[in-house]
This record gives sequence, structure tokens and C-alpha cells, in this order.
Amino acid sequence: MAAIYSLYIINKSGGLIFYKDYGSAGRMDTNDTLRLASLWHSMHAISQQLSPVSGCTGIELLEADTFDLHCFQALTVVKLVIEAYPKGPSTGGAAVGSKLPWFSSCSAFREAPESICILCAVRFNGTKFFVVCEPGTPHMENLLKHIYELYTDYVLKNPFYEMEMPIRCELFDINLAQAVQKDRVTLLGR
Amino acid sequence: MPAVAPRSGEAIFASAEHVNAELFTLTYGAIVRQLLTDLEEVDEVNKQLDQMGYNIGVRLIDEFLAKSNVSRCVDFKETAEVIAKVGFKMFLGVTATVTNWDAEGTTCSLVLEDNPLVDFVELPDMCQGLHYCSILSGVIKGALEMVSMKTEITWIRDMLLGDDAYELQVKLLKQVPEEYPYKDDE
Repeated sequence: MAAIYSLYIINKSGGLIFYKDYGSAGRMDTNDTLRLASLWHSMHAISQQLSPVSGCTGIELLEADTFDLHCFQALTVVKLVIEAYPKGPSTGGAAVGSKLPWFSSCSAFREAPESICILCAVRFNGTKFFVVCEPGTPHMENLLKHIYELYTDYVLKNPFYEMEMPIRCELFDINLAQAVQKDRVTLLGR
Repeated sequence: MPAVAPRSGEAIFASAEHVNAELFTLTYGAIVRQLLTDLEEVDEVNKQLDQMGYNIGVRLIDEFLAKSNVSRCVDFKETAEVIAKVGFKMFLGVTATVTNWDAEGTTCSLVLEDNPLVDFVELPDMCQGLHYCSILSGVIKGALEMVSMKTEITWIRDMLLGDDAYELQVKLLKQVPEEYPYKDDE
């Protein structure tokens, strides 16, 4: 079982600058990933406007039946997105989601990081609901933060990397592979 | 994100890999010297150093945010304090003091008593007007621009020009709102 299905890095104009697949079931070609990245960028922007509380920084976690999508946006508006295996029914978000079976999909965005997470569910007809629940495990957030550090070290400090352009840095790939591997080991060890 | 306490400049500086300070100082000196040879005009060198700093700043800000766990600052005052206490410490190993706030709270001065860039430097007469450390102003400008703050930075005092400290005046020109939400009529 893979801990992570795939990783996306999206620049501030919504362009996909890095994509890595770690064995997701659905095959996607380059165009699909680009489209998905810019779609996510827009959804993220919309979620900020949807928020009933001011100072929302957008969707951080999207929970679906078969996967979770964790998103981390730096203050410089670079986004890191990973798709991971779902957390299971014990965590707050999924539990609330399953109590509301008529929702087509559930997504959560956290407002005050330590205390609450606001679960936002959108029905097909466009009606929106907001539910407040406990945040889930911090595991993936830590991994995203670590990947962000790798990005600053091996991508931004590479003098031949052009800002906002696709990332083709071997050192980044190597270190990223190590981080993901380590993450898998800790996951299996639990 | 889970609440992670911001790390102090000292802690980050201690955990970072270090290079020999002299190598750093001498490399910077060589760059400035080469620019003087290439560009001949002191003003052009100032501009070029500033531009180089800017290019560094736009990349460095991400590292700063990633390693310091600093989150959004509430106002420009906090931003200035964070630059002086965390930013300078983390990358240069020295701290600056923030003074001379104007009434609106948009202009302040960062004062550096100690500056590792100038350890062995004596400016010759032909270089009067050269702001040897212009790269620093560029870095701050570039970094702040990436977190949507347009600033103007001027050197007020420069020890190499006979003053008693280094003083950078940082003026917040405008705070550009995030990329979105766009206004509907734009």
C-alpha cells in the first residue's frame, strides 16, 4: 500500500511545475495533470472566497472515498499538493462526512490550525454546508512541510533554475524519493 | 497546518551549515571588485548589486518561511522585527535593530552595528558613493515583494562612508493584495 499516490507543485499562476506519481491507480497523461493542477488552483481560490470566516487560506484537505488530498500553500503562493491513501473512518473529517450521506463530496479547510477545522460539503445542486469538527492527524502536513524545505534547498538554490518554471532538478528528485521512502517506512511501522 | 512554534533566528543559525566567514567575505569582495571593473560607474555597480540581491531575495524568502515557521505577520511593524531579529540572524549571523518609525508606521530603519560583509574593506577615494552592501537592500526588497509588499529601500548610513553604523531605511510603498480574489470588474 502506498502512503502517497502523487505529488503536485503548483506555481502562483496556477501552472504545474512538478508532478510525481507514486503508483496511483488511474493513469494520467501530462495534459491531464496540467489540467488538474490549474483546476485545483481555481478551486483553492474559490474556497478562500467561500469561507465564512475571514483570513481563510484555502482548502488544506480534501477527503474522498479512496484518497485524501492534502494541500499546503506557502506565503509566497507556491502550492504543494499530495494525494495520499485515506485516513480511515476514525478521524474527524471523514466521520462527519459519513454522517451526511447525501453529500457528493466533502472537503475541509482549516481556519484556526490548532483548534478547529471547517468541513465544507458541496452538494450537486450547489448548496453549501459548513460543519465544524476536529482536525485529523498532522502526519501528511509534516511531510508537505518537509517537501517544502527540500524545494527551497534543492530547487530555489539551484542558480540555473528559473523561477516559476517546471522543476527539473536531479538533487530534488533524489531527496524527495528519500523523504517519501522514509515516510512509507514510518507508516508501515505504525 | 498544525501549530508549529516559530523558531528563533539563533536556533536556525545554529542548525544551518556554515561556511568559513572569510571565504564568504572575500567572495563578496571579489564580486564587487569585478563589477567595478566591468561597469566602471559606481552608480551602475550599486544598481547591479541591488538587482543581484533582489534575485537572491525572491528565492531566499521561501527558505526563510520554510525553516523559521514564521506565519503571516499582522502588520508591517511585526514584519520589520522579524526581518531584523530572525532573517538577519538566520542568514548573516547578526541581528539588526528597528528604529525611527514614522507616524504612519510605514517607514522604519534597520540598523546594523555589525556587518560580516565588510570585515576587511576600506573604500578608496575613487569609490565614494559606492554602497558596498547594496546587495542586502536588494535581498530585503525581493523577499518582501514575494510576500506582496512593495518596498523602497535606501541606505541612510554606511560605516564605509564614515558613519557610525549601517542604516537601511525601509519604506512600505503598498501592500499588494494576494493574487486573488480578483475584483469582478477587473
